[in-house]
Amino acid sequence: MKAIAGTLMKFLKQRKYHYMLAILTVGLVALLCTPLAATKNYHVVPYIFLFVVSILATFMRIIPVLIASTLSALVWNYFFIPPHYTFHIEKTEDILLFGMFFMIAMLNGVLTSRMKQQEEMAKDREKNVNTMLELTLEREYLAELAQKARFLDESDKLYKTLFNSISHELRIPVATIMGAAESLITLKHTAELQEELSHEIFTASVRLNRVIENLLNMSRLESGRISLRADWHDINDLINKVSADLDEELKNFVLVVEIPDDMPLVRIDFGLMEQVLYNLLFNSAEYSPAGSEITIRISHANNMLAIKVLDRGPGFPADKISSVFNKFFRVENSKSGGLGLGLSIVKGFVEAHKGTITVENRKEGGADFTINIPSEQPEIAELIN
Amino acid sequence: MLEKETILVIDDELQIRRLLDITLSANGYRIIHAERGKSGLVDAATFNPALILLDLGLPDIDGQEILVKLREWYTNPIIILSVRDSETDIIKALDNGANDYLTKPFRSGELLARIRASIRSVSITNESPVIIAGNLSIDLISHVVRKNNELLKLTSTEFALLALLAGNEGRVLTHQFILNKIWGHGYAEQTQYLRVFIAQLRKKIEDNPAKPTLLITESGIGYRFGD
Repeated sequence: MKAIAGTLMKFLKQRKYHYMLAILTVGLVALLCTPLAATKNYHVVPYIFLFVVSILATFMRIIPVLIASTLSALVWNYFFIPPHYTFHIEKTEDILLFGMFFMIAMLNGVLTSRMKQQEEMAKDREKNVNTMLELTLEREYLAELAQKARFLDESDKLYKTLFNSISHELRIPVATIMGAAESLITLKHTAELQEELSHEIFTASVRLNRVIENLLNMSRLESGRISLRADWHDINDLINKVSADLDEELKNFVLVVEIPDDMPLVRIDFGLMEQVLYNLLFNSAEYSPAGSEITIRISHANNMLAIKVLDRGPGFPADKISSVFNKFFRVENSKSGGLGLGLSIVKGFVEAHKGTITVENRKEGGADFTINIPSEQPEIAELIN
Repeated sequence: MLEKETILVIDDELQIRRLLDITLSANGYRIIHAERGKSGLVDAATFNPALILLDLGLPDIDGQEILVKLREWYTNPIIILSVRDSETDIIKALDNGANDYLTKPFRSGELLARIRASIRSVSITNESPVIIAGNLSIDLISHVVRKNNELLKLTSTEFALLALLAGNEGRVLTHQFILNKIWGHGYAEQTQYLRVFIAQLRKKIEDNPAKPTLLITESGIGYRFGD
């Protein structure tokens, strides 16, 4: 039974059969209504036809429906309205009836068909919107993928630069250490030469240590895992620690430290700020002429700690000064020995304190690094006993 | 030094042990090595060294545990070796009874200085009530402090602070330790107080308060009395 119904449905769905079906249906209904012809009940017939045409209209297109409507009207006229077997209609009321039926049948067909059309249009529109939505989403997705690919490409480039830079910076001191140490082991040198070689080893180790510290600091910054451990400190302690760390490098310079007498305690992360000052002073010592002044100027105002590091070095080329804090920034023709990470670490650590750092060229030559860090006043301004 | 003083090194890294061996024996010390905490404990009991260098990052037992176990009976100085940025571990170790600390990589000059200061501090603790440090003299009984023989006026808190640090020369005292001893429990978090008092004290006793040589800051950890 289901199989028959299935095939029937399939059959009904095919449009090319609709014309034939329309005609056949009308014919079938006419046939079934024949017993009514003989009686006076031929007025019932148009209702049956209307009903059937409405059903046809639910699944047929307008033309077959119009054909069914017209045909049913004509059939009704010819076979059911007296006189039978003519198109002539005897009674005047029957003519009216016929006319009305004809119009209703047509109207019914048209309206039902129009309704169906609207429904179909709505479905189409919905489908269009869905397709458009899909396309937009797809486009966004592709754009994202493209961006990721570009990012990976740049990351890749950055990685390659970083990798080459690191390889270089690590291998040079290691090579020096190995070379000098091996020489000390295998050859007999004068005491003087031995001391020189030992110094080479020491210097290279310190350099290697510095590169490692820079790398570690950079990874901390990159990973975003800088948790500030701020505490109250005497700024003198910070400066003393850093100058002690750089004792060797600063011995050829005049370090000038200016701190006001009424300098209060400051709230900083000692370890991070130690690295900040270390990197700045190290750079100054690297690039300034021997014997020149390197100044650290501390001041406080409006809950801000201000640190200035000034030197008499070459400063920065005016067109490059805005990129000084970028990763891997190195001035052209600068001496080798550095990843170019120092200043970006400085900036990162200062910003971890919610502070700012700027750089300017000094009027009479040299660089001026200014750091501003918010630092509330400690509760105890006066001493308590 | 008639007799070589013995130093016990408890560190699992061969290179560190070798380095320490060379440095320390070149400076007149006798060295004993232990690769593990457990054998270190045994060696300490067997040899009763003048000083122990203990690495905090031991593989078998936590360095802190070794420290606590040692301090159950060992009274000589213990200097711990640790890595940078491990302030919490260092503070914990100092509170557990370590005298001093060094972070790797350390300079041998610093190592020797600290060893000397620690060993010297042992003999000092049993001595007279007057501490002499450079041009400073501190009388622990009369509470009189002189600098270049001139009387200094210190408040009672300032004196307590100075006496505490000077009496523990060769040791690093943590902020918490100092605050508890001088201000009492409940002040353990008030580093502000400590810093301000140290700054005041420095102004009075240091030749150059901006570059202190007596009251030395161990950033993030505490203070020591230097010489």
